[in-house]
Amino acid sequence: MKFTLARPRYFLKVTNFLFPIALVLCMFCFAAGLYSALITSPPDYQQGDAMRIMYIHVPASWMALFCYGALAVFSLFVLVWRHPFAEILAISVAPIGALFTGLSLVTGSLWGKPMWGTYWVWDARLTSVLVLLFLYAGYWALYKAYAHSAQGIRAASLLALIGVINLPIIKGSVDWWNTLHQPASITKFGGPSIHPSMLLPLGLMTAAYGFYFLVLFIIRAHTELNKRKLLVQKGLS
Amino acid sequence: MILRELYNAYLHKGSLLSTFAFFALALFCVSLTMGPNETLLRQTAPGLIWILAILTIFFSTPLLLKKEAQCGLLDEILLHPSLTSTYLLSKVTAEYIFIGLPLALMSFIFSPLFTLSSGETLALLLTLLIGFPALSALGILGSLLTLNTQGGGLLLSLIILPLALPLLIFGLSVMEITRLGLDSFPSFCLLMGSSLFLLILSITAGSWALPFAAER
Amino acid sequence: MLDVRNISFPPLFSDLSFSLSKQEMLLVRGTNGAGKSTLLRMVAGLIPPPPGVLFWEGQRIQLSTYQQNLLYSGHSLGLHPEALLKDQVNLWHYHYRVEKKAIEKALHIWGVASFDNQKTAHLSQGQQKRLSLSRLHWLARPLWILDEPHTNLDAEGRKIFEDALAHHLKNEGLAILASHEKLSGIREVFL
Repeated sequence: MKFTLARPRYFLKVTNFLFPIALVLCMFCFAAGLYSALITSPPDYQQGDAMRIMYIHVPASWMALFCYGALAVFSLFVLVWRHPFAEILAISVAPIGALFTGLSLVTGSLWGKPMWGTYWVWDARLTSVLVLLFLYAGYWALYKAYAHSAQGIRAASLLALIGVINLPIIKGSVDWWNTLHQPASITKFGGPSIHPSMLLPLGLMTAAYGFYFLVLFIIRAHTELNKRKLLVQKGLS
Repeated sequence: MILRELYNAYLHKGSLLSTFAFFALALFCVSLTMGPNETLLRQTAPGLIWILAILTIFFSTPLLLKKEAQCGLLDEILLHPSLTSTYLLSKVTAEYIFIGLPLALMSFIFSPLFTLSSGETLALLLTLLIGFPALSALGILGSLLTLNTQGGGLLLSLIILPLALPLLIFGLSVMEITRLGLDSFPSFCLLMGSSLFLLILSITAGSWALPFAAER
Repeated sequence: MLDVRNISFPPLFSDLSFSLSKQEMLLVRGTNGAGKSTLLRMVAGLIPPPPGVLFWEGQRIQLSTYQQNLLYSGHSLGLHPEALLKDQVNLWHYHYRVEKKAIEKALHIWGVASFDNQKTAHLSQGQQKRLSLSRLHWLARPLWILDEPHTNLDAEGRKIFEDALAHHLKNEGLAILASHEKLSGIREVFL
């Protein structure tokens, strides 16, 4: 009653409605975003065409953080309210977050090669994002290590909540330490320091990633729901 | 409670010996493989010693705790009136005395193997002594989280090592600064701060993890 | 004294209620895997019971205070894996703040006092069980929760146990047992 959407029936109803919309929007945004990112937007006056990888890199990093935030919220529900549906959402979101984190790291190091002359450097931002990837990996490994998933999810949720301290570290790492990684250029005082012609493709790509996340998330959650339904049916018969 | 834990750790003396032997042998092998290159040894020694110390703790803690849990000793702890965090703190203290101190002492004794100067040796000893409480606490937290799995030390390292990174980073920055002959006090403060923070964090999380670790 | 109201642990048991007053004993019966141990662990608070399920002396329990009233003996014997018998006595002494004299006296009653310098892990199963059950004599608690106390005990051991139990009940004690033994004239709960 408190969490209407958290009842599987409503969740299925809403997501069945949302799924095709998200799928179409995802494809549209990807097409439009890639077109404007690669063709119509101007090259950076310092970094040239190489900076176009930003349109792939930055939204991936944002989504990686967003997924971890969502994972932490679901974990809180698992631990405090023991909400069974939160378990399904949490294990649906975790691998997607790991995917985005991996994508962010790979595209970041590809971007680093022409800009910094190296694929990898142990600065605070890169290290903390790598830790994020390890947290996702640890979460999944711990969840899978338990014979009973009900126990595993609780141990893993605790780990996920502890890992939340990593998020502000990632955010602050470029400002607290002098690093190679450039500071965020979207939200500076006195308006964005990024040109509107670059903002459009970035926005489109972010939207595309967001809808892509939604699509994956709905598929994973439905699979997990069906898996559990099957288990229950088997248990009854 | 603290007496109980000290005595409890003392009873494990047999298994602790193999822990120390492992650490000594690993140190020895590392210095052997690095060869006679003095500058290389000096530069890499602190990192290697730190990592070996971390792994030693992360591999020995779950073994001891698992043994105790299987014998039903965790049940007795849960039925005891004192707070779970008191128990965890006592356990950290006991582990500090029975594992941390000997390991730090051993790295001190073996430091000539790595041709460290006396100043660096002292700094190494101090960083280890500051870092060990947090490492033990993290190890105990990880053991509780993995108690009902077959994962053991490997799984524990996977989930807990990322959390121990601040200690490693700040501990090594102290060593680096000492090696360059600069004032290492600020780094020491950072190390102490992160050690204290991780100690508190893992004990808080551990007192959540303990009840469901005992549930089976 | 002890009220258990609508205790559930799906899928093992649900909405189970019983109460127990002084000098009373309850036998939990059921096939293997029916949830006897789970029920006992829950009543002991080792699996956190939901609020409003356990009542002690008419009051809703506060877990850690309530647990000071009970003596729980489960499948795991609670013996330190590396301890000599005298170490185990010391450990109990530190843990429960019980006089060593009292523990040693109990060990005599149970006939395991002469193994001072042996590792408890090297004693036979029956001797270990006796050692573990010796707490019935040195730990004075009103509510006993015993999971299969007869396992591995020989005739003499059972006699010692039955005597201790009878004495406990006579002294206004309460007891919950899970057992496969046939005991006559006792209230039973079937799972």
